[in-house]
Amino acid sequence: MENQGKIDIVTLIVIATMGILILISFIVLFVLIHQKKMLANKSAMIDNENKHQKKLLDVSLEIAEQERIKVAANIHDDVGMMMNVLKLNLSRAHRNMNNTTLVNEILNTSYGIIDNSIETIRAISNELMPPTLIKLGFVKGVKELCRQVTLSEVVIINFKSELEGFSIDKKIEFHLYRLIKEIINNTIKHTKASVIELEIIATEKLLTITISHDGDGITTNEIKQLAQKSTGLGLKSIFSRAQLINSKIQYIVPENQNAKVTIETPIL
Amino acid sequence: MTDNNSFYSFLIEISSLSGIIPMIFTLITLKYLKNYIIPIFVLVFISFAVEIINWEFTQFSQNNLYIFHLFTVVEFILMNLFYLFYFKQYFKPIIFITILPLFIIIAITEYYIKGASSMNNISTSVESILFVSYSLFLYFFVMKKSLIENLLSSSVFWLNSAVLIYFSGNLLLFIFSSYLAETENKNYFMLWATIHSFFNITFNLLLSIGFWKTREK
Repeated sequence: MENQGKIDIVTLIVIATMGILILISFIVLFVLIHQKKMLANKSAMIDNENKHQKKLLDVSLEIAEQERIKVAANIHDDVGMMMNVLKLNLSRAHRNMNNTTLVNEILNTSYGIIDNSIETIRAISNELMPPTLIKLGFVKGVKELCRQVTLSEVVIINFKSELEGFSIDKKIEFHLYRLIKEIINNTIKHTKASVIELEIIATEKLLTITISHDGDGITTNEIKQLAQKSTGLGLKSIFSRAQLINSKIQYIVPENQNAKVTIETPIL
Repeated sequence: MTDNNSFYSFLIEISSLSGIIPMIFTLITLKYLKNYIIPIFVLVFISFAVEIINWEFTQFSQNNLYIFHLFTVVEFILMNLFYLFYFKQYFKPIIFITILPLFIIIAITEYYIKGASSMNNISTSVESILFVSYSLFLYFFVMKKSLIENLLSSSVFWLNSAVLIYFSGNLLLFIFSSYLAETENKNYFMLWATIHSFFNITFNLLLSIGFWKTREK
């Protein structure tokens, strides 16, 4: 009986040990397979991230290209045409030097053409680099933009900020200015807003721009989906610019409150 | 019966001699050894020395169980250092530092209570449970942090697997070793020797692979 008890224990040890060995083998196999899968996933994520970065870069380059084309078209179509007309006028005046009345008329017309050319060149220059942004700084530049839009009587923009002398990296200021301009344009075009509130606040580490309006709101996910489907550059350029300056853009539609867009930019 | 005893004796001898293999590999890969592998490097040599001493004592029918009491403590300290040094790279391994003196206390207590002529099944069982836990935790940690790209090329994977297979395979043997030692029937000893020999040979082979893999970047 005692021997049988001992034999049973031996059998138990053998069977249990074999069971443990099988279990351990499964564990080791599981670890190997799981690790392989995780690495494959990680590799796929890195690939996706690289594709995303490439897409952003392509959009940035396309934006720059579009702006160049726009400037070239404006110069060629507007300024170029006016210069041609001016040249023709001066040739005509030269041929009719004895006809004082005609010469005076041609000169008056030419002054008008030169004034228009100056205005056009000024507008192109403002579009490329707004002078208020360069001369007065970021906050005042944005304030001036809001004033000009309000003057156009399309929408009222109430600007609020106590950061008069505030400044950060010029590149970031430029991109933020363009972002604000693009968001305001989109708000006017698509939301049927009549009043826009624009606020700029800053802490030691973060600059926060809040643009709220009384029109139809849209969430971040909805706008990202629109950006993906859209063939135009407007929406894509917003996210592309934000990513260039490490900004976080959020489109929020709170209940019973005005829709708003927040841009949070870290200040180094 | 005599043939069976010869076969088991042969297995035990092969198991003892298999300790030479990791010794050779450690000497070949000496310059590639990282700091956390050095305790296992030391353990390999101590294990083989203990095997030789044990063999000598067996030849002269001397009681050698007190050697195993001492060896278990040394083995635990060195293996614990392996895990301690490895995890130290990533976090403060307080638990490994805390368990070390506790184990030594358990081993010393068992030695004084049961005596030098008894099997140290309690300390070996505790040691086995702890090292099975350590090795499973290392797998979990490595997977969670994605620390190693190719596990099969990593020395840590092979060394850890060696520890896991050896101590999990021998766990029940260690638990029942005291009971088996009480019996006078040699078959129980041979069975014990066979299972332990298998896992010991496997342990030494996996350690050898682990040392060889230290050459890979």
